[in-house]
Amino acid sequence: MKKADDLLKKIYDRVLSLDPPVKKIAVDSCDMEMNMLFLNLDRVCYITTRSDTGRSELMFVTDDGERYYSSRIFKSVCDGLADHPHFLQTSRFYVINLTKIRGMSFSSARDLWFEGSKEPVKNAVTASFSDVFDERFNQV
Amino acid sequence: MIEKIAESVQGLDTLNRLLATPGREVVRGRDVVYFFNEGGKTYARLEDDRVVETSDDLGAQAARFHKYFLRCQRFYLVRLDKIKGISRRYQEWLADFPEMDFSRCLKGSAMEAHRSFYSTMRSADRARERSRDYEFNLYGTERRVPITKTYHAAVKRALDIRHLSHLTPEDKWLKKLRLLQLKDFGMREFHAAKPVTPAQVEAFKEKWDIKRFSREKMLVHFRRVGAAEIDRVMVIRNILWQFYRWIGWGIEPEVDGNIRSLWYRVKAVLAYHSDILQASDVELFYSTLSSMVENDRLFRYKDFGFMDMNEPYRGVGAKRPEVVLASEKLGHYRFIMRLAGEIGASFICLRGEPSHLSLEYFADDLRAACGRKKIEVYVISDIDPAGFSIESNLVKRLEFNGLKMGRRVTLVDVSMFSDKEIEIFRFPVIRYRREGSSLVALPPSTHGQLTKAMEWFFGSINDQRLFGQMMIDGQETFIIYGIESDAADQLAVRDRFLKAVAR
Repeated sequence: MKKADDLLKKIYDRVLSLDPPVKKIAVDSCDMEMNMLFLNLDRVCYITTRSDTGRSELMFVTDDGERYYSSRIFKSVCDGLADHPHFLQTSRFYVINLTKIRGMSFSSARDLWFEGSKEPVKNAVTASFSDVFDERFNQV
Repeated sequence: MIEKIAESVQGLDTLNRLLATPGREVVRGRDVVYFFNEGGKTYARLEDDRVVETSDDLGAQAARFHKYFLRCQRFYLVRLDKIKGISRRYQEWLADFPEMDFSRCLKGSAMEAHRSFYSTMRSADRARERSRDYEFNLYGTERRVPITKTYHAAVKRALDIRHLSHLTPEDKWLKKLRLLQLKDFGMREFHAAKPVTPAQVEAFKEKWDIKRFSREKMLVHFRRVGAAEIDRVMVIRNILWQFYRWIGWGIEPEVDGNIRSLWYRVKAVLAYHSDILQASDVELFYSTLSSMVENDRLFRYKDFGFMDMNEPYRGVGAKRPEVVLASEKLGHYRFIMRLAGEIGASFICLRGEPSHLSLEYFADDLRAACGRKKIEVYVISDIDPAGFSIESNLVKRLEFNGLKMGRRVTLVDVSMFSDKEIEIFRFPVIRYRREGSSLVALPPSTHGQLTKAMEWFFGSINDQRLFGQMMIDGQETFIIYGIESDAADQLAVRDRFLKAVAR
């Protein structure tokens, strides 16, 4: 019985991965006429807080290399994406889309290459997040 | 679990469902940007901007595409993944509400006018209510779709946002800018690739300089809520904000003149491009600037590089800079400069009400010389409401500019004068009469001046030698007197100052 439940759970997770429940995320609009812009999450490679550079804003990088910004707080975005099958917080500064990873270099902190970008994101996965990253990476 | 899986699997294929149209065409759910009702029929707008009628009504489409389409108005059902953004929706309310003719209020019987007035007000309320509407910008079509209040909650839930007007939680500073309706045009572009060469700066300005916006663009960005007109105060606020930002970014030179110089700079360019400000708006410009500095504390006058006309009439002491000797009169300039020089104190001639701009410069100079020491202020001002106000404002504005205030000493007061001297030197500040239970100021004084004079006299002076009553035109008239600070003996003032400082 338990085996059947586990199997159903796996099937359900896989279906959710094909059609995630959250599809949009609101960011600041570059077009001053619009109050906000909605990005399709399946285009977002990673989200980073810019507090390490002294800026209190979030940056969303999409698979075409475009950058979008938001004045929202990093934690609120992390919480909103906590149950998303593709997104994972991998450091104090990064939430990444696992399906957009195209390269990885292994060291204590990992650098990641994302779709649409030649340059790696340095230290995208830090040591304290590496276990959960490995686990989720193998599920995608 | 099985139900959840079944529901999710069914969802995978929802957008591939087929829709029959009366015109024999069959379209898929994923071809549709939104459904809408018009004239009792339901239509679908497709990604190629074509419109096709659908066989089923909007309710049936909502049920069929549950979770993939979102109802945002009674007549509109929008595909969720086609939503690009949210904008404020402006009503052409004068056209929408032809009954809003206030002239009707002036016609006909009193009852008719009364009814007409309330009907007009109700229309205005409705228009105001509708002005809080928003609309969706969509991928796949230039058309926008309204979001009405009934559906606000559902839209917010579906898009995981708390407000339709802005994102939350937000940074405190950004919140302040949003509430003040200030926009940072071109900020992202500037920080992404800073314009360096004059040609790059010019290209950047050509694109983002508010002063160069056309009337149409002005209307898009600075529209008054509930009306199809440009909000001039919002324009001025944003122009000033942009000036401040651009001076900080190094792409706009400082004003190097006075506030009027800035006004001419703004007015000339605006006149060429949109002509939305008139020469008579200069007062609006001044009041907007002072409100942004003094109330909103967004920046300081000094940040614009305005020159300080009072610069020659102030100085920071070498030995005791924290001691400030101030006079409201320019005629005291040499006297206070000499007196302050005796002990190495600072001095300033205020020339009437202290100017915010002068005090910004003076406060910065004092801070540089004194550090965190408390400032002691010794003031020579007239014994009248204006002198009292000048003295209080001097202290307030130094505090406003971040200085810690210590003692405040009034160097000229009634105790310096004998009864005889007061009788000689006093001059009438205000005359007033009692009419029933109220007091009435005699012209040219105003009621406001009377209130201030009463507060000053009964609140801080209360000396019967400066109060009189006499019969004028057969009516009992009361007079409050004042004394000019020039009437005081300068040696006595000097003595008072030196003793007070030594204490």
